Amino acid sequence: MKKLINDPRNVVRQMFKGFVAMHKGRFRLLDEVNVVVKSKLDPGKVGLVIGGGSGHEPLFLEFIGDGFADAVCQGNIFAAPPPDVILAATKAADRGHGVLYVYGNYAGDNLNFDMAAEMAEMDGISTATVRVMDDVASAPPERITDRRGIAGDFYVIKIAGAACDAGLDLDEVRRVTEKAGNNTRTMGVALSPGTIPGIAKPAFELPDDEIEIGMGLHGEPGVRRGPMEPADALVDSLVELIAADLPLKSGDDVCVLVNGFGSTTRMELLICMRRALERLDQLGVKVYDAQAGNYATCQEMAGVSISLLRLDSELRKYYDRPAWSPAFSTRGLFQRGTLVEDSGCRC
Amino acid sequence: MDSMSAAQAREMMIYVADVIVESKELLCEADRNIGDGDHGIGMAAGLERCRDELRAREFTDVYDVFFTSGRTMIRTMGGASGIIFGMLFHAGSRNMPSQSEIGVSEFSCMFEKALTEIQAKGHAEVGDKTVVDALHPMVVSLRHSSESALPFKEALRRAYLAAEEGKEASRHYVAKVGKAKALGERAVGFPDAGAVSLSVIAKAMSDWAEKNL
Repeated sequence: MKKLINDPRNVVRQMFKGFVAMHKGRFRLLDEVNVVVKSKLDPGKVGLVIGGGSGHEPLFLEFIGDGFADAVCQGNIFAAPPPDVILAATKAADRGHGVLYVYGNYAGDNLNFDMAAEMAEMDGISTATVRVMDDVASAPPERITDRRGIAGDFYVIKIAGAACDAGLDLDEVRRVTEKAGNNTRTMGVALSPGTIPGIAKPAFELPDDEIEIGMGLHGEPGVRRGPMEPADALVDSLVELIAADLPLKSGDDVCVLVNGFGSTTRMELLICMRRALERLDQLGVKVYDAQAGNYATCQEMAGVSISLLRLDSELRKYYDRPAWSPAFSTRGLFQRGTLVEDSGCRC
Repeated sequence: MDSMSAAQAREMMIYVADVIVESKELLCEADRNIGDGDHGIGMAAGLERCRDELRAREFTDVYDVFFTSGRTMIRTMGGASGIIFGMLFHAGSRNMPSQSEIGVSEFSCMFEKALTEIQAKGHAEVGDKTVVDALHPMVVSLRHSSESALPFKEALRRAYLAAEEGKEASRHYVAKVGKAKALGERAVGFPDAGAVSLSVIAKAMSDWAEKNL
């Protein structure tokens, strides 16, 4: 795979440097560790630290900002950051009111963040943890704590950032963030694999004419492998699997994220969005807000995932709280349908 | 020779690092079968840093050699393997009184502590398709060698054979912990990548002992 990189061993560091240089002054990069921190931190608030393996950008790196993470730490490609790196991010984000960790539920992340939490405790910093486990395909509901975190990380981070920004204490920030996690679900379909920089072979194999429903962001097996189908059929499968899992009922309010894995075109994402909104409408579900884009990727992996965040009045309040990050901003957004009534177009 | 000095432990760990760095592709391939294929990259990078730390100074305390190795891996590697393989050397050498040399019994105790801590943090039992599948039999073998007062060289040879056997047995298991968990029956037939790494480490220690102890 051709990639615009230099020495494969330096990809993560060079990416961090590029990010910080682009946003000159807004963020700072810590020496020797792959941690970015907001240059200006509001005093008196709980710190939000997010992180995980690299290679999924814009997740986690670009979800730093106002009403988003205060510090982001990343490990090597697809590998959790070491505890010392997480600790450096924790110290940088702490303003004496503790730090919330939000990250995807993977064995490596759990081990490293837990060790960092122990180290932070010894340094007198309180931490709390919310692991994102939105991937419906990764385990059945009775083993929900085995589920992995994928694109739904976005919603959980958005709500966590808003809760910190609103000045809640650590216990309350954790409670609200856990509630967001409990109401977030994602299902994806993979079309072709991504490759780790510097490694010729793809991270997994998928024949040209096959797709896999529920495949994870590192090629973890999903629920069903089968022949390629039209977008609408695939989107219907994803929406129905989520609807059954939550379970969604008529009258529920949701936010919808149609996420590309890296090489999916915007055209495809919007075609999928169109069908997802149609299908949710048929189910009687009200869509409060919707985004399409690359939020959680796996290099040049192709495919799409659909994430839903089910809102209640409390979550809606935090979702609506103004926020800015390089990857997502509430500025310029309007609530769907407020400017133009739904034309009812069914194409 | 029934003891290992700090200088010897340092030489042995440098040799282990050399072998892991050379085995990078083999470990990536093992991971690619049932994971994302990057295990060798992390292990090679971690052991390379570990080798730098060991080469940078002389050691008079055996435990310091293993502590420095494990702590460096935890600090630099990341991923599940950074913690797991870091603890392999770090858990049993941390907070130990300084020793200029240790015998098979102390060596065995060190890995027994590592097994306990890895199992506690990783929530893994034998048969879950993790490094524990190879580490558990290795620790049982070391304990037996210690009780039978076997010389170091023989203890390490048997420890390697036990780890290798455990690694091979991991082929038959369905993963219950870690990324391969989602594979279910599809992971059967392949050994766990962590168990492969442990077997490579155990073989390197035994090979080094064969020539140098």
